[in-house]
Amino acid sequence: MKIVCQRSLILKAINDVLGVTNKDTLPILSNILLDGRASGLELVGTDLEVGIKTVLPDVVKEIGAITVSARKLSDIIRELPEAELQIVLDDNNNVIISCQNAQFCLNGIRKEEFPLFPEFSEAESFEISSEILTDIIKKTIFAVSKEESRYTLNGVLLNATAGSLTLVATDGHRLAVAGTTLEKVSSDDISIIIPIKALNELSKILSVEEKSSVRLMVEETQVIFKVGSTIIVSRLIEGPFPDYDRVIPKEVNQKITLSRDELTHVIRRVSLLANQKTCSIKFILKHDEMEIVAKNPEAGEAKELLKINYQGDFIKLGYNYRYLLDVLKCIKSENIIFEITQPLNPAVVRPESEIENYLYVIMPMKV
Amino acid sequence: MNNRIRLLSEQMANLIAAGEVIERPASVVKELLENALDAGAKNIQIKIEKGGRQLISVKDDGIGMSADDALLCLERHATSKISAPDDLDKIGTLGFRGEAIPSIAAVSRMKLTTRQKNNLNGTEISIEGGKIKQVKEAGFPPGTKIDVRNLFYNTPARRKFLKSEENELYHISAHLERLVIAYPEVSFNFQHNERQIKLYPIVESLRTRIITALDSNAEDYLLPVEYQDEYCKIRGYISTPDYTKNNKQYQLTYVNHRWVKNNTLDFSLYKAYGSFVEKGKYPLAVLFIDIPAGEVDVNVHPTKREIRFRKEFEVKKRLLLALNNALSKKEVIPQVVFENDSNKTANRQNIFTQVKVDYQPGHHKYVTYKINEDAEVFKITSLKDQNKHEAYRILGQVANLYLIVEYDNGFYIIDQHAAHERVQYEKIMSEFEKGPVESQHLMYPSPLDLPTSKLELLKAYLEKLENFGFVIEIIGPDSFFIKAIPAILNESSENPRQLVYDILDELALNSESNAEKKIVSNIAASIACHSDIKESDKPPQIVIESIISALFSCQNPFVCPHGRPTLIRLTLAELAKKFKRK
Repeated sequence: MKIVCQRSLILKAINDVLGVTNKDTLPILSNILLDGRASGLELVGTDLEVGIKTVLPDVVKEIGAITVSARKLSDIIRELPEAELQIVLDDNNNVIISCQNAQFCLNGIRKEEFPLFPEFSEAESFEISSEILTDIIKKTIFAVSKEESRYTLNGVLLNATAGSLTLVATDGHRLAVAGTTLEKVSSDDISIIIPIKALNELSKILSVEEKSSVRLMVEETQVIFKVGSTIIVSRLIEGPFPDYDRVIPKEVNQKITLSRDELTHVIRRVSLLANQKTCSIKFILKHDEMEIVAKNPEAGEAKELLKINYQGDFIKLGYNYRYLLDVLKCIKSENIIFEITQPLNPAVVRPESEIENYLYVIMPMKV
Repeated sequence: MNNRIRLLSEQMANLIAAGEVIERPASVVKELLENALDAGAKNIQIKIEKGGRQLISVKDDGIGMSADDALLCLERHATSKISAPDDLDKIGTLGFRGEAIPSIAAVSRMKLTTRQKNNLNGTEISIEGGKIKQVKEAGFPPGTKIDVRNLFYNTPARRKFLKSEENELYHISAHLERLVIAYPEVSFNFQHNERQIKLYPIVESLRTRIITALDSNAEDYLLPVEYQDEYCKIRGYISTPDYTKNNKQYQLTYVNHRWVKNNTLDFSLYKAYGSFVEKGKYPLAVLFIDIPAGEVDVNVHPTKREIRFRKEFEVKKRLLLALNNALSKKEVIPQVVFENDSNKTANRQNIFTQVKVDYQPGHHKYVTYKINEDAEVFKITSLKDQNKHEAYRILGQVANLYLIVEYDNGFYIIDQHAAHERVQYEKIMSEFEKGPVESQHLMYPSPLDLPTSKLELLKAYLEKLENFGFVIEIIGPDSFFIKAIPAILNESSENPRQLVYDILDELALNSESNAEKKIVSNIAASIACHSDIKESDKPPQIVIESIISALFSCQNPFVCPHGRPTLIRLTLAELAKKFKRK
């Protein structure tokens, strides 16, 4: 194998697949596969759950394949000067990287030890602009559960029908829903749960990619994303996702309009004195005003008054301030609408503008 | 001179005997169920009212009795199960003493209704305090039904000692559960106060019965145990070492289908798992040993709870082999070595290795450092109270695990992780004492799956659990949902459901006292577990100092929340002894 290539070009390709390589499980999975074919250099990384493959055309001078430590390879190439570099495989499975006057010899492991990249059909399900997809992933992914015992919540639900695409994530304390319109879906309606890791890697790749589109293919147990010359294949999380529509309150007693920036600043200030374990803050609603209070016997007490338009009863609500800040960070519109029913019922936070197609549900705290 | 000694009337003798056999409503249930099972019943209905004070009724579809037999069974020592002394050596039925029915009859108002399949008419007998009041013919489906009303009505002393309705029901359910597991081929319908508490349908396998009756969460963790030779047969299920419980309630052993408590069996389990199970954790185990009746003596205790093996070592050897086979199939446990030494030395070795004394292996002296929180030595409230804490000096760290501190005429070896856990734990405990407990409501209430015995326990403690942030809602007679959890749990990834199970397990151990403390300490321990200082870590000096100073001010600095020791002390006197200066 012999590869001749500009440093920045191969560095980007390595960084695309680096995220899924994993040093904790099998040693071979911490490696990256370099497969020089006539069609181009294929770089592959996988943790057996998510696999990423990207192709660099026109750099292969002699064909051949080897796997090397992903971390070492990326570290070496990052430190090299911006110039043309050469990667050669010798007969003893050593990979020799040379660039200007520098030379590295990395121990490789044979390609045969590396897991096969999953096969998939080319039957495309739909295509979406990378910008829009990035946006709705960002609006939902923070709500994914980190608790491993409820594995169906460790991913984002993707529902697609002709006309709309919806992403949903929840950790059982809060729920995020974001949608967009979709021109067409090739076959039946789609409803799958995508592991958070695959979406993180996808977002990372999309963030360095120029404006483009993502093509999506769904099979029985896996989902495939194609972005330019990069392919991400991820296993799906199998099992039922909870009925998210049911927890979105349908009847709302009070709708309070608040300035997003103002509310964010007030919560950030007041929460400085909140109990950092429970993260609770209180909203006390009175006629035309809302008091936001944090109390912590160890630290002290903070409160701030907000003028609002409110004609309802005196009511005390408790929330985890981190959940509120997470949501406020994602909302783009200048004003938000805070919808409440009963103190112990879920609250809905949504952007003021009607066109925006996303909302958040936050479970209250009893305080 | 008057003669003072006289024979007791039969009624009096029955009352005394009843005291031995019939302790509480649960014993009545147990005796009646055993009779029903001995009669070959396939469907058994148990009705309880007011925790058994008002009514205990067991109805079966077994072989039933003729009118004469029905009358005779009310006589003391009347039994169909044995006749000659030799029979005692090979008891194959659950009951045999012929004491149960007359004993129960002596302390209650009983109605016995029975019919044999071939007889057209059934018999109904009413007894009050052991005296037969009425015998008549009655229509009845084949089988036997015994209603026991007003238990202990004529022994007020005993009646006074009955616990609350929930508590008695808990004991009944516990007895029932143990029996139910041994008889998957029989269906049991359990009702309390006219409400069905649990229906155990006939199932095809022991495994299914264990999952439905004992622990539905264990499904993925059960390993089959099988062993057979000419001496005995062992079968059942045990859990993999990674699935454990906080107490022994989930370890059930049966000899010839009778649930028993036997130290040999307990010890074999303990030994088979060895160090693969953390101290204070117990794997689930349901084991049946079928052994020729002559090889066990069940006639040790009136309630037959205790048994003796004729050849204890033979049983132990086979059981260990069976357990070892089951576990090694899973490839998680190394070979268990059989020792022909006395049990005592083996035992001591085991305890010793559990106390980590890395710096002086093999010295039995340190066995004394196995820490027991209740031991008198550790009743001093805190190290700080002794006003000596200024004098400590941190000497360093060993293997990124232990801290060495010079203090109080000697030095301490401190497990930094355990110490930090203890510090966190006490901090959380004090937070609980300070203020109101906040709870985070859940979007999707989490269903609780509980065995019957725990259902009543949960109901009894609903309010207390809510005081600590667990809002649990009753949806149906045996379906509960966690609606909210203590907000303090947000920070940890602990599964709240598991936490509720653990708390209930502990409450079941001693359900009357200290409930609040147990709930809080379970919550606190589960949070403290996720502390920042990992086991092998080299924290900066300033952190080490703060941990030690906080540890020395703890209420109980000697054990971590899970019961492991946090520190080991070595005094100058001991050092002097080791260096033969004294």
